[in-house]
Amino acid sequence: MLATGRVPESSTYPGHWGLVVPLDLVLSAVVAMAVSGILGVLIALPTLRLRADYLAIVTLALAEIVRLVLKNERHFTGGDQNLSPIPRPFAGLVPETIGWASDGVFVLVGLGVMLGVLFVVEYLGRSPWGRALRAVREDEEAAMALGKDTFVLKLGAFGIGCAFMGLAGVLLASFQRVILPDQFAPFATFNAYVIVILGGSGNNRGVILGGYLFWLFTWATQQLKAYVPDALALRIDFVNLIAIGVLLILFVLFLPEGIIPEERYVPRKAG
Amino acid sequence: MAENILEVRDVAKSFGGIRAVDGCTLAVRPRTITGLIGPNGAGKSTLFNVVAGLYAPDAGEVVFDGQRVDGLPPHRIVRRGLVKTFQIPRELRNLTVLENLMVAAPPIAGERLRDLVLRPRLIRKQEEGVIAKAESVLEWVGLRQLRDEYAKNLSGGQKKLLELARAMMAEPKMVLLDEPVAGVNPTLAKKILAVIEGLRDKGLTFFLVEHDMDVVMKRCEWIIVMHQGRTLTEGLPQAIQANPRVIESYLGA
Repeated sequence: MLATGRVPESSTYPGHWGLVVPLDLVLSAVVAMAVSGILGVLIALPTLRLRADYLAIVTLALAEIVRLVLKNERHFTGGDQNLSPIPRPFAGLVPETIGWASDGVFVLVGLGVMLGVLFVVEYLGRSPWGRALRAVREDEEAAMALGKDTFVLKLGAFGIGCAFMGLAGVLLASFQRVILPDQFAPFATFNAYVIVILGGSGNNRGVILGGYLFWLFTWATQQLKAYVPDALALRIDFVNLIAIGVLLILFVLFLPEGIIPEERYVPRKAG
Repeated sequence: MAENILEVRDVAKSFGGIRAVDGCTLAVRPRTITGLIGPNGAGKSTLFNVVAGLYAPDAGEVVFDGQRVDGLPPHRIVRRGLVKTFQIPRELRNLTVLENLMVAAPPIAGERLRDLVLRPRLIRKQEEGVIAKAESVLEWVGLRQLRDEYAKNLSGGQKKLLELARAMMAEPKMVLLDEPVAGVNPTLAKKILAVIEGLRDKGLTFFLVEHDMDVVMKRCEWIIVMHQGRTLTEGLPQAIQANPRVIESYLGA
């Protein structure tokens, strides 16, 4: 799903326009979110009726299909030729040639977007809609018997999730200043799962923490390369993978709710 | 016939080669507590699931409150005022007791994404109303002190009460109760039954499956007996108790 969600924003950069004003990024974010959200809903319509594990398989397969289509399609996305350079926000004010300044601005922009998304997701989660969705998660049949249209609820959640993935894709493309289909190999999806499981699938702050820990861990193993024998340094990426795999197993066994578990929602007293 | 709140006509439902419900016809009058009894495997729970929309019938009609509801999805049937509780409580485990009730409230604006964005004030107001109502229902079934407890931490009997309380939140006209007092201690069972009778007096209709014959004979005004997927007979409790065909069906003849 990551790939299907993230790729369409490239459609706002059909050529090399050299855009510098953040307004262009805002615009492409809006377009990417709309396109991803709509695409997500269209994909969800036939597949959401599947049981959870089959749904996961189908979405993974779809992500691969989208990646391969974009890889082989040259007219619109450039295929493996990629789209670049995609500008960073405020590139007109902070030249991208000054790496640390450009990165710093990007961190701030990313932080802002993250807080914005966190606010929206928290609002949704605490709303009656979020409550109904949690009811579906606990027991879909019981939710139906309580009068919830569980299909429409799941459809909405899927669409919103995909829209946010589109937004994430805009950031990714802008950060790396290039976008090409292979950035969305199955690993991207797998990493996202790991982050959610480590941090806590029921808690938004947990997911953020999981993201930081995951990349910190990956970064740290990269740094190790300088300090270990060459034979090991060459294989450190695989060691990293093995370690993450072991972590994943340990978490599923002993800490299935992740580092920060879901918190209790306590509606305040009436009147 | 408008005098019946629920009519089931020639309903059939098979699973593989097993005809769980096999041409069942019955009717429930409004403002009654009507019992549905029958030996294990008679098709009672399956019939309830068909009426509530959880299973689509293979054949036949279900008419509720003058309108056909067979084949409708469960949430539509609930909105028409027909709610079912589960035999084994299906509490939403990681939601609090209060949230379990709030979820069951009739659809509110806050459950639609469009209104979440466009009408935040309406949502806040509705939410306050839902909280107040959920609290009063909790008070009334005696679960108030467990308001913010996770539903999974309730005892078996308390979960039964929660099922009933949740059903009430949906503002039903009729409730299908699948074994409301099975496995509940006698004191709590009495309490549950008192709640049900109080609601009946307020105008609700109850249709219940129960294996405790004492409860059925004492509390139900009318009893329908199912056997092998159809209605065997129906009548007043005394008549059912004395009916040799009913006894035969239970003894496996």
